[in-house]
Amino acid sequence: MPPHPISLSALLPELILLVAGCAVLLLGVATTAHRRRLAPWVTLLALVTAVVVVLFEVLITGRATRPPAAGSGLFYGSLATFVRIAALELGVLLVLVNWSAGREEERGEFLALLLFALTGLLLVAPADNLWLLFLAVELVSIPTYVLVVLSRSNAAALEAGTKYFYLGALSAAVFAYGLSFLYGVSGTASLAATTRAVVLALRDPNSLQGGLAMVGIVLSLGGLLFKIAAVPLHFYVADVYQGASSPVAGLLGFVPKLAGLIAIFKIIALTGFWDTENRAVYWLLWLLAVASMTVGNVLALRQTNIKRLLAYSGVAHAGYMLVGVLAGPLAGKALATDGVSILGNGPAAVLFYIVIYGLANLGAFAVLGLLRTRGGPCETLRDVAGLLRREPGLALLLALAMFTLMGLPPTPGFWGKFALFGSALTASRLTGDTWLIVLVIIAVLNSALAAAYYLRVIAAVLLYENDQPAYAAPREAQSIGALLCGFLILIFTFYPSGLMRAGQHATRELSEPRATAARTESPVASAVDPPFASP
Amino acid sequence: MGLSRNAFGLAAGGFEAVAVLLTVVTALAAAILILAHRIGPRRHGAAKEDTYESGMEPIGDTRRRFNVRFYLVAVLYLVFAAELVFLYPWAVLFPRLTAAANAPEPHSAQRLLEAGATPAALLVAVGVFLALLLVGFIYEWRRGVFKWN
Repeated sequence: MPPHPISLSALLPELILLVAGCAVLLLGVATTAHRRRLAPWVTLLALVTAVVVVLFEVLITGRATRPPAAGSGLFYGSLATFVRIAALELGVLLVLVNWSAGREEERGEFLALLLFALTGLLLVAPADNLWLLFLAVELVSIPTYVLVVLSRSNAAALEAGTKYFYLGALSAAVFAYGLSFLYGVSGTASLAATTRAVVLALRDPNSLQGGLAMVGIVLSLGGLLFKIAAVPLHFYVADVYQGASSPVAGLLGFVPKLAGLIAIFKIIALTGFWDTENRAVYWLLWLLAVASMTVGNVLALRQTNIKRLLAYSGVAHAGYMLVGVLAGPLAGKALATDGVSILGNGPAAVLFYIVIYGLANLGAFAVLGLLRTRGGPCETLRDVAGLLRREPGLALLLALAMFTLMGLPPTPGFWGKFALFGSALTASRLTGDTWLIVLVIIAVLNSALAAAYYLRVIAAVLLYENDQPAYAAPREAQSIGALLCGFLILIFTFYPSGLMRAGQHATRELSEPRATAARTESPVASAVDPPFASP
Repeated sequence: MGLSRNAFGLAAGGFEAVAVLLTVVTALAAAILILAHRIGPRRHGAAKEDTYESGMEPIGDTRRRFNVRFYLVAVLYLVFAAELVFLYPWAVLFPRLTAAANAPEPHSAQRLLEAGATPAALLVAVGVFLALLLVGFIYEWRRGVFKWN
């Protein structure tokens, strides 16, 4: 029987972004200024069209999965649909916030690279093959290096971009090196077959195969920790965020982080970690989570520059998300609660959390990007002091974003932390593992510690006086983007269950035990998903 | 079963050959270094300590500025070199695939056909690749990379 040809219609959203990226690149070097001004509009149109295509497909066909195309190395499951919708909708916000980023004559390049990075993000989730996973993750990373440099025309941006590029290239090399070990163990690049081989190899950790598999897992996780800015690969983060313009720093908090987390899910799933207890992987993740949140929060406490503060808080948030990765998707299933509770599903909580974190982070950076003080950009706590008097709307928006990052109830940041830590507690109840409870206690203490520096920003904005308060630059698109971030945070405050349920559906393919050779080329179980976007 | 042979082409656990190789390589490298250090003659002189012992005489410092345009030339070279590297196997494979698609009996390229790589798909794929390169080319042309003044 001839196999299915590689179906291009499955790739329609990615193709739209790619073609639009090329078009925007060429529009940016058009001869007339009139055409050059079209570039942001074309970018926005492409993203909105891609969102409509994805939503239309889900609503019409009533399923979030597609039969996989043989030999394509892509598997369009529920996870891919979630990432598509989240990435494209946040992509719209990113374009609005970055509407007038960088120099006018370089805006075409800027927006084209933004579209290419989003294309890579859309490809990370369906990647079902080690090489495609690597290429997709790098397609996200490489444009972001250039975006940092293009975002501002000063030496600080160049320095930030250079640092980010060299360390990013190093992490990509480490990631690829790790993948090569995994390939060596399995002899094939397909994730399903590699899972079987790696699980088999890890059964005897003292054997050569087991050792090689473990080296591969550790190295590839190491490369990915850079993308999510977790300890011990967090050193670049503050300098890069400070050097980049504020809207681009907001982008860095979402696009590479989501790509890195999805790739981490895939690498962790390779070990069968969520089905079989693997103590080495367990302790690795446990220590990384504790180190990330503690180091991130302690370093953030000492910052007076809000961009550096948010950068280190991003390290801490990466630590919180690793708690959810550690909890795994299986606890809730095994406990057989009501079946929709997110409290037993770590990865679903992670997906919820990353979207909320991305929104709040982008909102905070969008406000900072809009503000000017004494003709320069507004970056430090002193700059934003007394903002409430001068710009009450933006001040409240910044405070809302900070409250969300802090995890104050009833903001969605609280629901996210609740789900993350709840899933870890459920997992500990299931396995009787007290160290998970210790981890949750450390995480909660860290959240309390983090409140100290978020409250400093909020206090500066709302309570302090300033004889020369910052004022907002007249940027319509950026204001709309910032407002939309705040609006979405408010929506998720009152209605978090929709996004949580979406996360639940998305992680369904992770909670199927893949290690026991159950997953073949045509997954049957996930083909009967209920409509993704149903309320 | 799945582990009986891995990508290194070795039977599972059959890494003895690699261990032997590693030992021999390390021993040989160490032996050469030690021998060169022990029995190598040490002569000094003006000619010996020159930058190029028997070559041209250096003129000035190596740490000097050079035009940033060379960077763009390097990028352009990469674009076209990558294009060539991808086109070459394609050009070799394409006639064989066409032959395999038309041949009634199994052909050497039959497995590629079974994997879904029809000649038409391959032609479209290379067309997409060239189109993407063309976009980059037009972009560079518009940016004035080809003007050297």
